[in-house]
Amino acid sequence: MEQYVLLYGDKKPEDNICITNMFQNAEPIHLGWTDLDFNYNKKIIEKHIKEGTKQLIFSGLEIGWDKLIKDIKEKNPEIKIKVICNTQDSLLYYEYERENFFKLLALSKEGIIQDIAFLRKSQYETYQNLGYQCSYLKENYQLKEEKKVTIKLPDKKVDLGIYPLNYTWDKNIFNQLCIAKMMENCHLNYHNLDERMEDFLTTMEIDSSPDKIEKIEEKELISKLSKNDVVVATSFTEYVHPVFFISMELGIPCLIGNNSDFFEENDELKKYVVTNAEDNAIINAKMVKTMIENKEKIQKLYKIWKENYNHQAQKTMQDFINQ
Amino acid sequence: MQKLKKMLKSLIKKDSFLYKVLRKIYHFLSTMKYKMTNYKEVKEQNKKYSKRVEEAIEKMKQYKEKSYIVFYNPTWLGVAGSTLGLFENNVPLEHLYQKKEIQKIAQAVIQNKIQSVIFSQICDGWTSLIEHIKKEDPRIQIKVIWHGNCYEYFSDFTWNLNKEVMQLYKKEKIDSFAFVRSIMYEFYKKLGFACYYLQNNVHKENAGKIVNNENAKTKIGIYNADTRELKNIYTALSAMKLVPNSVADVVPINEGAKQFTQMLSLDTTSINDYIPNEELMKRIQKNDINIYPTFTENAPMFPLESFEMGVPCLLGNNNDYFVGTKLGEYVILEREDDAVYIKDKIMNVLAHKDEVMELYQSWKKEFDQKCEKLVEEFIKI
Repeated sequence: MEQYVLLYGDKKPEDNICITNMFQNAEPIHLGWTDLDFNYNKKIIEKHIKEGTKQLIFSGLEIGWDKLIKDIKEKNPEIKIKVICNTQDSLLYYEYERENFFKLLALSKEGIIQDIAFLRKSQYETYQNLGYQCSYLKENYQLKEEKKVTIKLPDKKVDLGIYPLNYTWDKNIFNQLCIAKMMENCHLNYHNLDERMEDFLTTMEIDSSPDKIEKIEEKELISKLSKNDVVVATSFTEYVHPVFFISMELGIPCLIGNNSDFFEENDELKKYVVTNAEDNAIINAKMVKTMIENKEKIQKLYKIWKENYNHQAQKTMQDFINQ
Repeated sequence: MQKLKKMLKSLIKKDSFLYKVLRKIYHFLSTMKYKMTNYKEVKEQNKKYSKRVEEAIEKMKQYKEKSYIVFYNPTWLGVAGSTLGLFENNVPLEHLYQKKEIQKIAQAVIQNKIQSVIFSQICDGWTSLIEHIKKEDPRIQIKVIWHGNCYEYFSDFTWNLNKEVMQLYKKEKIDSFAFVRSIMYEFYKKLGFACYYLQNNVHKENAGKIVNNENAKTKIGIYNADTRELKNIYTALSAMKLVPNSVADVVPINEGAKQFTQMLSLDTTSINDYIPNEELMKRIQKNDINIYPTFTENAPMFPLESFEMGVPCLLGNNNDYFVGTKLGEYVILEREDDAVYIKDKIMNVLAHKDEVMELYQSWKKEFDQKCEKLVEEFIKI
């Protein structure tokens, strides 16, 4: 395998938990367009090139990185530059996302970027059809050490965890919080991203405790998610699913929206952990109840599925690096 | 000013008394500034609202001694369409900013001996109107149709308004609520509120006459989708591109979406501005299919309008239409953010278009009856 380095933005941790878990050689760089950011990033990259790095893999194309990529390629034409696309079509509504995505496609057309990895199959197929050189990369996350699953006493309230990593529309926050209202005997632990969340839960008389994730990183997410019997992360649209992976790896079933390519249509695990109706608290409360009742079965199914998925994800990663 | 605002926000706790006082002063001064700098526009607007009040008072005379009337804002197109599709005794009314106008409307309700006043969503000043009516005659029933779902509580305006109407209910100024989606009905029922369930409906019996199926290309429409993220226009455009030999009709189309269609090399027949609903209804009949893959909804009007115009429409699984039916299997999207999946669904509906339209016709007959029953229960005194 050719020597590579994965370069990821230091201010977008939620995007990179899975990616940095997959790629061994990863280093954060600045997000920004100033000369200071440019020079800082360039210095890091030049150090890697000096040490024999043959390809640079950027996690996303963030502000200022197009200029950086052009400069590196001009001075080091032999270096392979690849980008993992950190956006979804649904998020192109935002000018920032759209402009960077258009820049990414333009750099690919000019041949400055050798390959774009899409994390969603649908995007991969769309842009492959359009003639772009691209790959499909299955996001993954593996817990490095085995964690013990705590089975709670049945007479206790169900601890339901909702930990959106951003207070943005796509996280579908208030419809998720409603799930706790539609369940019996439930206590909600949640990532309090905005005072509106607390106000909503008090107004709607939902038994809950706010929680604060100080720093979005693997260790902290593990400690927060571990408090719960079940976790819900039913955002409308996604390209990475760190909460799902960490939760499931910990043995805590996690409900996600139908916005991943993890499962085949008839996969038994999918029937338990994927909701088709992300904004329907009645359906999702029923699904959470079924998940709690089948916690051990879900864990067994997950282990079987995950072993296979690990191989598939590893293969897509190797293919991408070897491309 | 923005810097000062930001600094104060970071220094003062949001739930403190000082913060609330400063916020009130800030809002008062901003309103004053707006009124002074936009004097002419504000004057014109108030004139328009006052004219609407006079028209509403006249209209109420037609409903003298009726069991109910419904106030709705005719400029809120979705709400207006929903109201007109469900009720008969409708009174168009806009925002109320003058105390004397609020009193006038309340008096007209009483003078016309109307037993129940339904508010189809809440405009500015309508909560004061509710309080006035109840103060004048507590026997008059006040009902509020809440058209939003909990997703909308992301917005300061909607959340604060929701809290206000919840308070009015607790103070017995509002007697009951109606929701147009079952999840909202169940949620508020669980909170202990008196609730009704309604479904939006569309009646366009005379439409569908100019259906054109002779397009050289597969013409796919998406409308009024450029204003909010949840309308999911970019995924929709990608899906259209994947349909062989397709052309997209996007109205209105904004600069970003236009650039995206150019990047995709997707043929379009789009126009930049909104067009009146009547014109839109004529326009969509020229399409082979319409798509409406939004992420969250309550009871959207457009999919029903499209079917009524003789054109099938795909829609997200975020409302109560077609659930559990064969028609639903064809047209409900379960993966709204997946362009390949949406493309497959488009192709499947196009291949079974006649069957889909037949299924719609028979579903609609039952749906009309169901809607009528729900309305009857809601307006009952």
